[in-house]
Amino acid sequence: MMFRRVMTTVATAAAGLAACSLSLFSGERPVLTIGAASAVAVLGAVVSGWRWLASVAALTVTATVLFAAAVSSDRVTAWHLVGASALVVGLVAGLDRVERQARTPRPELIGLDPLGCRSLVPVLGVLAAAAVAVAADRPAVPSVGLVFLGLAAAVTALVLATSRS
Amino acid sequence: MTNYPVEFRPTPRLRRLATIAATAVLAAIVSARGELAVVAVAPLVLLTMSPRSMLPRSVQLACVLAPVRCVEDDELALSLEVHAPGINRVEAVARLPAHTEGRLEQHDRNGSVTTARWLVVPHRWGRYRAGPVHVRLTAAHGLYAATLDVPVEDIVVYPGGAAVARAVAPRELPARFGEHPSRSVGTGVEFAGVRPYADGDRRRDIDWRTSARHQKLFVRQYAAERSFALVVVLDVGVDAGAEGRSTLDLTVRAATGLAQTYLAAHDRVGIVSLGGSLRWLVPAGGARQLHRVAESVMQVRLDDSVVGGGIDRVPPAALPTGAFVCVVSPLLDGRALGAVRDLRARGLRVVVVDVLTTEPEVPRRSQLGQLALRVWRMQREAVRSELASLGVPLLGWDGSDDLSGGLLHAMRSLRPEVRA
Repeated sequence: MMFRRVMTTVATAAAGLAACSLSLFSGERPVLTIGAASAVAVLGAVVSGWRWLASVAALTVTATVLFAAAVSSDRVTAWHLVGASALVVGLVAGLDRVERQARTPRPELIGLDPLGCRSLVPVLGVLAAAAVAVAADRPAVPSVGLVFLGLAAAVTALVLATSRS
Repeated sequence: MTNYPVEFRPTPRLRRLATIAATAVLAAIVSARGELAVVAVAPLVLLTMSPRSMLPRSVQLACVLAPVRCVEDDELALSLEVHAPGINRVEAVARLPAHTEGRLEQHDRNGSVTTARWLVVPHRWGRYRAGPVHVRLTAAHGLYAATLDVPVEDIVVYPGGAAVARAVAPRELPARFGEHPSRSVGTGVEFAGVRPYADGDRRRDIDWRTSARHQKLFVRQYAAERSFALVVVLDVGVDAGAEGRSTLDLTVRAATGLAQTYLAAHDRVGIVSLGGSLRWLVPAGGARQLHRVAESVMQVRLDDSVVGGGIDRVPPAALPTGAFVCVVSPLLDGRALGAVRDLRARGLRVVVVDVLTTEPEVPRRSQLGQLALRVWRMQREAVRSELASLGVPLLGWDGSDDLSGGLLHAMRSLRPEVRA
């Protein structure tokens, strides 16, 4: 049990730090600063198991990735962002598990879906991100209508996903 | 299986993924760089692939604790069955009462049915409220969670009986049929002696070896088998010692052990509890009496606010003539000694089982404390002397030894004519 707990902590911290390491590709001082801050937040969150710190860590790591890509678009490619996206999703899942382990009294796991079922949707998400990255790499004619259509589709999907009926 | 309505709520994971997706989309729009939206894709896919409308509105649950009546250190099984389609993860916390140990023994998931079994071991007698079992259901890849508290039946833990290997009894017994060989001659199976043959004696009772030696017919005699009434007086006015091995614990265990052993030997057993509220149970035999004794012992609780009077208020039916009285007491106050005096005055045969195993803790360097301890020991010695002067044997018991050996010794020392 202790081994599993340590492994979860190490894996979560590794995912967060790896996502933060995107700031090293950029090399810009502001990006490095926010990257260091998010690394500290990740380490603090996995050690303490505090929920608010985990939320801060997830947000700052995302900000680091986005800031690095925005500031240094020549060194941080869309493929870097696909990898960072996968790491951020892994970080969120890991922080969830760390929080669960820190809960008292600690609940006992009595039923869990197989690994294949659990990892199907996240893998699909990363594949979709890769598809978007491929599309982003290609030169495209800017189309305001297409952007609005995409946004409308995303909002509709979210509303449907979160509606109760 | 009972149907429980459940309400799933968004988890921190959902909020974080939504925040990440919103931040990435916003960054892409503000910076006019479409590739930043790549970061939002994976969280958006996770959010949209787990629609809230697919979550179950109710789950079927069954939680059974068996048996709900047990003896200390018995093993109970707490079983939980969850039937919930669309659930990814089931976690549970079995909230167990004090002095109770529990561990998850097995769990299994077969499709939408999850089963779990805990081994529960109550270590101390009493009535306990077990549970509830707190169940946490996670659905939609950890994005929604619901919690449920499943009630569990209360546990009744009877005290574990003290080790009483055999039901020892005095030789002088009232004329009741039972299993104890008495001094009088009867139709038992224990050899009691031989006597010259007389008309009417059965031929199969002739002792041929003795007859051959004396050239005259002799017949074997057998001891009559009798039963007797045992009244266990519990002094529960004071409790001292560590939980689980306190004087109250030892008292109820001694009472239960004696009742079990003597009722199994077809004797009659009664209970009188002193201290707190006065209760008694008229001596009777049979399996039902064992249940009554156990329930009576379970009601014994320290209650300083209630003073129910002394042994003089117990009716004669609860202390019948010829009964053997076993007073189980830590002998820490005068009430027990007063009760013994009253019992002797009624002409009953009494033995006292002292269950005090600890002494008051005083600082080693405190002269006053050491002096107080010496005075306390002298008071204890005075109580022992008074019991000896009353002709009442005193038996020390710490809960680990067999009580029957001490009881046999005590019964032998009771009166010259009283033997096992």
